Amino acid sequence: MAQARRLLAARWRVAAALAVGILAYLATGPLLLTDRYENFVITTVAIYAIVTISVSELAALSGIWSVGHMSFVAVGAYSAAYLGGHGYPLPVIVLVAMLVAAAIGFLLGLTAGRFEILYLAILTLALALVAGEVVGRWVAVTGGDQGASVPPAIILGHRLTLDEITSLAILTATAVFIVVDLAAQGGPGRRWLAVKNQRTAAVAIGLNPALANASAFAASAAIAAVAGVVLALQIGYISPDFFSLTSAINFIVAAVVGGVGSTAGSLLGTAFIVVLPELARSTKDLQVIVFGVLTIAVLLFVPEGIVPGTFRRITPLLIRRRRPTIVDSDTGLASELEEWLKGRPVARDAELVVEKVSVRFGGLIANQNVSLRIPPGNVVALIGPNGAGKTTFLNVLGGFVRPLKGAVVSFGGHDLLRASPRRRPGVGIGRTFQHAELFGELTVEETVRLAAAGARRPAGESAAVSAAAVLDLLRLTRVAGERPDALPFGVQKRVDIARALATGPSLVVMDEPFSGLDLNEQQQLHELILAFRRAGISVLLVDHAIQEVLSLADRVCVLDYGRLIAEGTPVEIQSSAAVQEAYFGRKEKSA
Amino acid sequence: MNELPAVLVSGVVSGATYALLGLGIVIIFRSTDVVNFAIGDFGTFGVYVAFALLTRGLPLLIAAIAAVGVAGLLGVATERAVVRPLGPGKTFAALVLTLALSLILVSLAGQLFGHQPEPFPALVPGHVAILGLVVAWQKIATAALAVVAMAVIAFFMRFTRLGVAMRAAAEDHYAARVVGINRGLVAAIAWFIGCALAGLAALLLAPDATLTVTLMVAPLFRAFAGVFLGGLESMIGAAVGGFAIGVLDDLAGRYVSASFRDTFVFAIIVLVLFLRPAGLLAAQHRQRV
Repeated sequence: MAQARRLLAARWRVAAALAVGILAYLATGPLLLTDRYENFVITTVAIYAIVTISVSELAALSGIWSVGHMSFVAVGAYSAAYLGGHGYPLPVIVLVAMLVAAAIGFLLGLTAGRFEILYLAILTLALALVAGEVVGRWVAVTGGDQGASVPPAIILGHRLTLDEITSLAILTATAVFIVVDLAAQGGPGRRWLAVKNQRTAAVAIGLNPALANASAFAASAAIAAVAGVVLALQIGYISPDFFSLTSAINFIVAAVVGGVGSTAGSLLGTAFIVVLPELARSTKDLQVIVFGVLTIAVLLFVPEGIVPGTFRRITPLLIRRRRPTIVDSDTGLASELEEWLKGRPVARDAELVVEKVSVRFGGLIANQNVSLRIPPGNVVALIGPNGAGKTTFLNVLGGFVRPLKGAVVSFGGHDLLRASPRRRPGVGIGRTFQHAELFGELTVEETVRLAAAGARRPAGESAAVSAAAVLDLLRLTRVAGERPDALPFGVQKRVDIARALATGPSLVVMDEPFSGLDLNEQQQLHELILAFRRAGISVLLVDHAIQEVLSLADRVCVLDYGRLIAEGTPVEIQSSAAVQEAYFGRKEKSA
Repeated sequence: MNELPAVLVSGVVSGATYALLGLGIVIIFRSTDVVNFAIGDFGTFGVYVAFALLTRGLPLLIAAIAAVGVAGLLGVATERAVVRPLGPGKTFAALVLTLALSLILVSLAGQLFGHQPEPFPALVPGHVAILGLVVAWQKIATAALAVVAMAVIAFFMRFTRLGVAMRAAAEDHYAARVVGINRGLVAAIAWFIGCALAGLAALLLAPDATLTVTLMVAPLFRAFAGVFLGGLESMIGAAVGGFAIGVLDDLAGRYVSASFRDTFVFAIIVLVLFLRPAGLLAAQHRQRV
């Protein structure tokens, strides 16, 4: 339903982009509605819009703000000048430019995970400055400050005229808008958003954050380079002036003013940065001042950008938004789930083996010689007071923290200490989170489908089918089209379980699954975990909720000050003096 | 003849101005979470005002004080008028806003004072020979004034009530409010100090570079490089980083390649970011968004 709505919206946007493209083509081309100068402005808008959308979507989908995209435009433009000068045909030039820009973008994107948004923005700003210097000084290729003339483009032996270049620019922009929109709404966009929203949870369903950022940046850079090639062809002569810091900043302004992640906004924002200066060519200072003031006004009064801001204001008038519905009745859930789980192709003989895990943070010993086993189909609980080292242990299991030498962590024969964190779902370990950690910009259905995409599924079953089955089983179908912020916390935590389930786990590691749930929800979760066990799926519960855990678990391990102080059946644990002391303090301790 | 001492001295002197700018950037960032990209242009604007006063016959000292004061007051006005209404937690929007401000300030200066480079007098004319090395008094004054300004800031931050309040507010905005620190006042003072430091830096740079609207573009870039070296949160780091970049930049310009100085500085930034994402001197990396 939500899926259909989104696809419909995407189809509308494709149609709109085509319509705008065809209109612009007809007006500038066959119908002769515009003069030379207007053609020039329209061509410029088309070319710059390509850059704006590459900047805007990169920010929207990956959270990476690149102030350095002008460098990639320069790569394209100087490729056109240099390679064109050596007689290469246009397709080769475009290909080379895209590859070079993508390579630089890929490297920058790889670093993205290490930095805050701000550092990366300033890093790319520095890239823009350096690009300016290289363009100005690398005379052999760029012609230095003198600039370089761009030979006419040749396609299939035909020299393009200026009018044809206008058409080429419009065609390219239309194609880029459609491709970018489809990619943003499709698989790549979902993956990038998931990584942007929740890095750890994205890793837990097998995504590779560094690769996601790098591929997003590479794609964005390659698109900007295409714009650079067409720009060079249009103006026929390029010099460092075109690639100044001011023009680099302009694209950010265009993206922000139009609305980040909005295709229509990218076009509008580009018109803003191109047409406004053209309106007041004679008074350059005044024009820049007006430009700056308008930018600040948009930031202050329509912070989400003009297009999304307008939509937000008119949408409530057009569509009455229905309240998110409550989850369907749970009747029969446990038995249905059990049946379904039994039919899944997962290894049911995998044992989790943890031996001698010690973790030290400076002088603090967070885990000391922790060993435990989870035999197939068992529910094991790990409990302990605050600061006992439970989270550290989870992070060791997840691969985010390395234990000291001598430790063994393996699952079904796979050495987890040597596998990267995102390999966990691949070997059959699913994970849920204390605070659900759902992907804020994905719907429930998109989230679960993304998780199912990398999972082992029965032959012929698509990710969408398997996601639909999980949603149906967990009674989430009616909220499938909602984003997490529209859901009560209890439902969010169930979506988190659905996400873990969709990865096809044979062991589910649950971090405080009972916290934040009401009594009814706790009871439902209880049933659910028992269904896992009956289907031969193991569960590791890490929680404070002792009563819940004691009534569920086959075995209980108790951590305190980083050490396992007790291990046994729930009955043994309940009577253990050490556990009593850790939780309630020693009786004689009073001073 | 060995040029190294001369290169080092010139590096330290330009580094002093980067350190001032970097310190301004860090003070404003710590108090308001805004990376003020327009900070250099506030300084430039202040120096233009000083230039206008000079041409009307006022003494250099008055003009110099006016430059610093105007830059600082412009900063306060900006924070109150456009930065505060933007609201907290909008780090990137604030960066874009200051980018737009930078465009406005540069064009406004161009419109009011013209785009021709103007000569600006040295604060202290003449040269002096130290150990066989001829150094302009201006350079010595630059380094000395920068150091004095930094010492004053250090004293203010360390020993005055307001300074301590500002450091507290930088550590934890919420807790600072709980104990009754007036955030608006802290923000205003941070912007005044930050932009006034930029005014001082511009004042010290103008005589050598001649006064143009783009006076502070290259120094700002290097100041940012210095801030990266030291970490966006560290005042000492920014100052030390500024000096380091000044020296490295001049060494590179003399011994590596005069044409690719920015590229060299960029390479240093990238290297540092890879090795220590929070800066060389930062104790711990904290996400503050």
